[in-house]
This record gives sequence, C-alpha cells and structure tokens, in this order.
Amino acid sequence: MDAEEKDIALINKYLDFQLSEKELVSFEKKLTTDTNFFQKLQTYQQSETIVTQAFENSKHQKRTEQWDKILDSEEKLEKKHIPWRWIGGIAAGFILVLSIWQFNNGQQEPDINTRIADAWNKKIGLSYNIIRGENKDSIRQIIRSAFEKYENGDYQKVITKLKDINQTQEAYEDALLLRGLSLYRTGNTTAALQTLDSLIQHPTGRKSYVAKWYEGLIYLDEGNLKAARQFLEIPSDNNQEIKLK
Amino acid sequence: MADERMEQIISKAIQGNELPFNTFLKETFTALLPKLLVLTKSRDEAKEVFIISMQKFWECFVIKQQKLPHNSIGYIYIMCKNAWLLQKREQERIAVLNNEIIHTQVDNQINESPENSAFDREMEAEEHTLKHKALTMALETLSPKCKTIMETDLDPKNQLKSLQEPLGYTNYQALVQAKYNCKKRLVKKVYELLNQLKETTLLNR
Repeated sequence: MDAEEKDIALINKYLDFQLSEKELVSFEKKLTTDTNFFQKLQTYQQSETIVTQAFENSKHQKRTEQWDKILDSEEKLEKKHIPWRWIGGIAAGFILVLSIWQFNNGQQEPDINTRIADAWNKKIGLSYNIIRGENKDSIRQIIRSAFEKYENGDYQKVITKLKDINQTQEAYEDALLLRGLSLYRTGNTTAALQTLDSLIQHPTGRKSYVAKWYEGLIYLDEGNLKAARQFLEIPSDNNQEIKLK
Repeated sequence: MADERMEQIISKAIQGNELPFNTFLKETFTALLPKLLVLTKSRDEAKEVFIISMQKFWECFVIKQQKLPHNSIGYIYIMCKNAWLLQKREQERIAVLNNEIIHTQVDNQINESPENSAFDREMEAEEHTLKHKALTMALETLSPKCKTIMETDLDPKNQLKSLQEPLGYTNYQALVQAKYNCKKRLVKKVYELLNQLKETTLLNR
C-alpha cells in the first residue's frame, strides 16, 4: 500500500468512526501538523457529500427517524417513572385486595401460564380444517392434510411433508407457518423462530400478523417476556387476554 | 453483552427483523448516556451523536457483516467519541468560515466593486461544475454491475430488489452489500477526479 492509499484508508477509518482512542489522538495531531493530509481529508469529505447527496438513501433516513422516535419515547417513559416504593405499595395493596376477593369467591384466577395456554388454544390463523373439495394433490389439500397431522401431534411428518413447497407456490406462507410451529413442537426453537421471522418478512405480508402472534407466544413459553413484548400486549391484569401488538 | 446474543440480534437484522436491534439500541443508549453527556452536555446532542454512530455500526455489521467486536457497547462508545470529534471539528470549520464570510462582506461593503461579486459567483459556478463533472466521470469508471446498481438507485420508479435475480445475487442482503461497496468505490473515484480537475483548473488560469 503506497502512502496515498494509506492516507485514504486512514481517512476512511476516521469517517467510519472506527479509530481507537489512541488512533484518534494521533489523527487529530496529524491534521494540525500536516496541511497536505488536512487537505486530503477535506476533499475526501467533499467527495462523500457529493455522492451522498446524489444518491440519497431513503432507508437510512427512515431508520434515523425511527430510532429518533424510539429514543424519544424511551425518554418519556423515564420521566413517567414512579418511585419503586410506591410501586411496591400499590402491588402489595392490589395483592391483598385480590386475595380477599379470591377467598370470598372461592375462585382461582388464571395465572400467566393459563393465559398463554388459552392464547395457543385459540389456534389463530390455523383454520385449515375448512378446506374442502380440492383435488388431493392440490397444494391446499396438502396444507389441510399437514394441518391434520399437526393437530394429531405428528410434527415431524408435517415438517417432512411441507419441506419441498417453494416460494413460487400458492399457500407457501401457510406451509411456512405450519412448519415453523411444528419445528417448535419438536424442540427446534431456533429454527422455528427463524421460519416465523421469514414469514413476517415475506413480501405479501399475508401471514405476517399470525407469525408475529406465534413468535410472541414462543418467547412467552421460553420465559422471555421482553422479547415476547415486541409482538404481544401482555396485560398485567390476569383477567385480560394476551393480544397482538 | 454476550457475543451470542449480539450475533443473534445482527443475524435477525440481516434477515429483515429489526425489532431486537431496536431493543439493543434503547438499552445501549441508556447505558452510554451518562458518558455521552460528559462530551456533549445535552441529551439531544448525545442522541444525535449516538444515532449517527449507530448508523455506522449498522453499516459495518448488518450490511458489510464484519466480525463483531468483543465488547459491542464499548465499541459503540468509541464510535460516538469519533462522531462527536468529527462534529466538533465541522462546527469549528463552519464557525471559521462564517467569520471569513462576515469579514469579506464587511470588506466588500467598504471596497465595494461589481468585479469582486462577479468573481465570487464565477468561482461558485466553477466549483459546482467541477463537482458535477467529477461525479459524472466517476460513474463512467464503475463496472457495469456497479453502474446498474447505482443508476437503479437513482430511479424512484425502480426498486433495488428487482436487480437481485438479474445480477445473480443469492439474496437481497448480498445486493445491499454490493451497493454499499459500489458507493465506496464511487466516493474514492470522485475524490481522485476532483483532485485532478482542480489541478487542471489551476494550471489553466
């Protein structure tokens, strides 16, 4: 690498914010002592500006706006923070009232596990049993048959049956959904989440809400409340249902 | 931040699921804010510097898919320091430039002459032409693939994704990476041509 290329590589590192603390000090010193290098930096920055302005990156801009909103909303949450002793007091009072209510009514309230089970049992987006009258080799009958196996707990058969359905086929998203859920049932959580992720990102978006619902439920099953909350509203009131965000 | 968790976050972002990355963004900003406030003195400035740095972090590890550092949060802090210094330098440069403009305007008012104003306008127009020429010439030096990618990016009617199959990219992320590399090559070429054109202009005066 000749001297010019070394200078450009160093300038690139600087503009990409990749200099270490030590390198930054040395860089700043070089700028003040080497006017030629300073001129190179200015021209390189100018070149970056010319290209950036000509090829404005709308995704970059959208990401900046999105992150700005996220960090602003985080600030608002921090400002609404109530001291922990108040939260403790309110929670204790709530538990007391609840216990008295339960004692009086002789009823057990559904806990979070019951609510999760109820959410799974809704079988949202899985109304494949209504498919009728199709040729047995048609893709929709294949999906229906796979769903029946899923209902019977033959998860490995579902995975095998649907593995060859490709993106160009109708009902590809339904195949992805059933495969994803079956992968989860066979203990392959990582593959299940990846499959549901790809369904969320699928261009048609037809099953993206359903995929988000199940991805949230899987995270809940795994005890990862934080990840689940990206997809689901999980009310603290145990009488309220889990909902999609 | 465990390496495995960070790798999963980046992997999901590459696949198009930005939610875990957004969570990481919030957590990291909260963790780094006290240190950033030492530099910037205001939350808004700290947020600006942080977002600029995270865009670069995204470029390095989601688009270019470079190897993750051992300590991502520490790395991001250093990036923020870089960004803050660059911003400070730019602000100082603009302040100096503004001072020069004010002095020139005052001088011009005292020594007002139409020739001075016309000369300034000519210099500005020349600078603009040089930049446009450098960009046009640089685009011509790109490979056919790069040229197609950059030209499609300019056309609001065309989507970059439509080039994935025709140009033979296995996935959309590979195409995004290629666009990033083409842009870098273009910047370097514009830089070389700007230098050459400026020298030629000086020699011709």
